[in-house]
Amino acid sequence: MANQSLSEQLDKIVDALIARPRGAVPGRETKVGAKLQALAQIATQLRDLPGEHFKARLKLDLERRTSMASKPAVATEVRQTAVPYVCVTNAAAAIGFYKSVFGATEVMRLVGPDKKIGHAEIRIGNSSIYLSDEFPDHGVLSPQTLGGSPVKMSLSVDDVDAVAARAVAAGAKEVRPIEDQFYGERSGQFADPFGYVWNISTVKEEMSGAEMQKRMDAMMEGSPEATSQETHSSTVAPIPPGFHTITPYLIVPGAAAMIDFVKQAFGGEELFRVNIPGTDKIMHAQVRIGDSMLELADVTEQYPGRPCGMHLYVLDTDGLYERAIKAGATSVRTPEDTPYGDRSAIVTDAFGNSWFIATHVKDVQF
Amino acid sequence: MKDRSQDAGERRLVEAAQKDPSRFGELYENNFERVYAYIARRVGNREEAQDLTAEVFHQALANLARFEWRGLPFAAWLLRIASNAIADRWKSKAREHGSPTSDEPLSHDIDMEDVEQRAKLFRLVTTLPDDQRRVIEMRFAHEKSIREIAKELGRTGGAIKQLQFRGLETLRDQLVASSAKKSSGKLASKPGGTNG
Repeated sequence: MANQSLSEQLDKIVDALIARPRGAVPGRETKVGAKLQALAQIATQLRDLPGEHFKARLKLDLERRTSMASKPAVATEVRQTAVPYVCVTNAAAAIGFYKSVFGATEVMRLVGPDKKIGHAEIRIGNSSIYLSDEFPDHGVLSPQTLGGSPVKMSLSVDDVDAVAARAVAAGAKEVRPIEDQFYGERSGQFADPFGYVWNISTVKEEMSGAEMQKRMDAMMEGSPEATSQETHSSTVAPIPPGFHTITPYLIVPGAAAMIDFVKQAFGGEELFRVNIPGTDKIMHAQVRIGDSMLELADVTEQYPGRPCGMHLYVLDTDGLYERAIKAGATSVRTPEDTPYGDRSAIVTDAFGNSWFIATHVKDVQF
Repeated sequence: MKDRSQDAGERRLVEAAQKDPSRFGELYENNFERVYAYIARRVGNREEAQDLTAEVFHQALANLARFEWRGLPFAAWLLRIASNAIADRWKSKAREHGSPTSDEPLSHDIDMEDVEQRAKLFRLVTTLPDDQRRVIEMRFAHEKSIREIAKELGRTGGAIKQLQFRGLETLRDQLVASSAKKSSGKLASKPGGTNG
């Protein structure tokens, strides 16, 4: 048991060493044998040992800067500023559906002891979507429980007909058939088995907002040439500039006020707005926040408004949180560091939508 | 001849990284402990040493194109960046506190042999058997008590003290072995040399 006593003696030395301020002259210590002395000397040098994961974290950070991380591209891409966060009754099944129908890839999922998915991330094309199962105790409810969702998912694809056919085959229901639209898209709407309606479209003709307005006004007047779809350009980008595959679409009572709020609270930039003819209600508007697009409209009989959740990745959660509160948002949770590596806060706007504001501050291995 | 071929290898690495920054990783791996140990010796505070080490490698990556090969090791360039970063840090601290920079450690106070020895030791820690490495890292880098480590690892305090003892013993043995190797290498490369 000689080693037992040596390890005890050594630990006393280490304890004294750690307790001593750096640079302090060691006090008079009990004389120890040569072996312990050698180990104590190593222990002294180890006082500066870097933190357990520091070297690896710094390397990862440097790799990110050279945008050459050897990890899968999806894990190291720049995070999207605004991400739809959807709640479904069976998140695992929904992930499977989105994978097989929309070609989604699963980035991660966190499963609780009850086997429910607390948080999952998928990517469709160049866009992220966050998902979770229902957690009624925390107010996290799915469209099936709420009786529908006012938020539509807008999906830009290369071949709308093919994707729609796949969706229907996998259990989606047609809400609006696929048609060529006056604004240069061919699109239709489909409700997935989890209660979300997807507006699936392929851009056939690029045009400005002013041109869209002109065509719509002409269409409303019944001018036949205005709706002509004959001049299709062959060089259009299937995903319009500035858009990702998925764009959150907020339908609220008072979209103009919502746009003002988004501008004040989150620095949104209004890019496009068209009113329902003869009213001051917004038929369709586009606002850019960071690198993401948000679409908005006033509620109509066909599309009643219901609150939804939006997730934002920003550089300064605390700053944006203060700004949102000043713009009239209500605090749900003040900024705090979370175990999953985000600094995050939650506010609600005047329309009951939740905004999850976050800054990714630390990579955490799950 | 050995040194020259090492130089050539390092030069190739630097040139490769200048053309393709994704190759910087190898230079980082070869120099991390040396740069960190140098900074830690000068600032005597782990958090600040880590912060400055990150700053040095970020600066090195950003300015890699400006590095010119003049026969000095790449590490010398990194240590110069480190030295400047430390001096800048002290100046800005002095400005903040309105006091002179009298407590700035001078670079000639730093024994480079000692820095190399510590760099080697930090590298050796990463090669320890897992259970010894974890105890050494928790005890020294995170300054946890034996009781805290025992709780975290689900072992008894006695077992943790044993692992600490064995970890330090392994490190000592490996340091001794590596310095013996170095000495014999020196003797071999200096035929007739007596001061190896």
